[in-house]
Amino acid sequence: MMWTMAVLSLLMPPGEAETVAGDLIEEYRDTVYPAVGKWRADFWLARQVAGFVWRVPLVWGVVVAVFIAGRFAADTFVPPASYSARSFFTTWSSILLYLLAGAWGARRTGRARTGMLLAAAAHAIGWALSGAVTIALFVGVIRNQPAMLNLFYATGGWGEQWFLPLMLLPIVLALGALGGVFGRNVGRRTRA
Amino acid sequence: MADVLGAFEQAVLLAIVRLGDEAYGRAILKEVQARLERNVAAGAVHATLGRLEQKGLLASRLGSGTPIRGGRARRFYRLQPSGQRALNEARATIDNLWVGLRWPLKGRA
Repeated sequence: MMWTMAVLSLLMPPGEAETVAGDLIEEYRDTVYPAVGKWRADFWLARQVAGFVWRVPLVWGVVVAVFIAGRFAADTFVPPASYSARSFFTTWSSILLYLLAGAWGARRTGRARTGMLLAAAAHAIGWALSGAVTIALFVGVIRNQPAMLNLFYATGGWGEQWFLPLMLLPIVLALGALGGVFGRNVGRRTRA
Repeated sequence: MADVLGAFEQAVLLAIVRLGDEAYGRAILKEVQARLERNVAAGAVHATLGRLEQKGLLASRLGSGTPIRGGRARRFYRLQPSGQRALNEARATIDNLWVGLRWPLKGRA
């Protein structure tokens, strides 16, 4: 039960997290636990907490997905002579995006750790969504066109889709933490 | 003209009217579930409360905690005059739509 409350306080503003946690604990102890027992009550609590926090990283995750899927689609349908300009743009805009996500989250909650959590969640959501787009493009278009299929494998193929997010995770966490520290300090000044 | 309310927003606002001074998160959730006769996620009610408060249709204050809540505060909600206007307009709109028709509808539908 403790971890769910920790998640709430990491992703919601302090006053909100307290009242929401109170409502959920009251329902858990008063109604759910006596009715269904510990395991099912814990599962219920986890679902409720997820219902509160899933919206927080969603918008950032969708933006990450748009960047990744947009780049993939552009490279597939309009391959450039050199990838350096596109790489420069996507690398630096991604860095800015994770920094902003971290800062926004930490400013909201007053906790720097929120920045790391939010950046990581946005990263996971973004890659999951863009993975779905990649699979759809592969099945619908790429596998039927030898030139595109060659290009797909020459530029990383499935390995890039599944392993690159894991390789990037430490960098994303660091950017989220950096943005988090900035956002927390801005939040303190704004509230002061 | 007041804000146009969705059905779920109306359910939340009416739950607050019914609960009076006891309108806090969990009580509102239970009232909404009872009236709509279905399970509703606590997060959905909370998001709606936040949105309605931002629109100025509701006001909230913190109350004291209780032992069963681990001492955590309750947030109590109260309808504002603009919320009352919005509810009245929503009801009037529905009534207008039904003018001249018998409920429940019967026939070839």
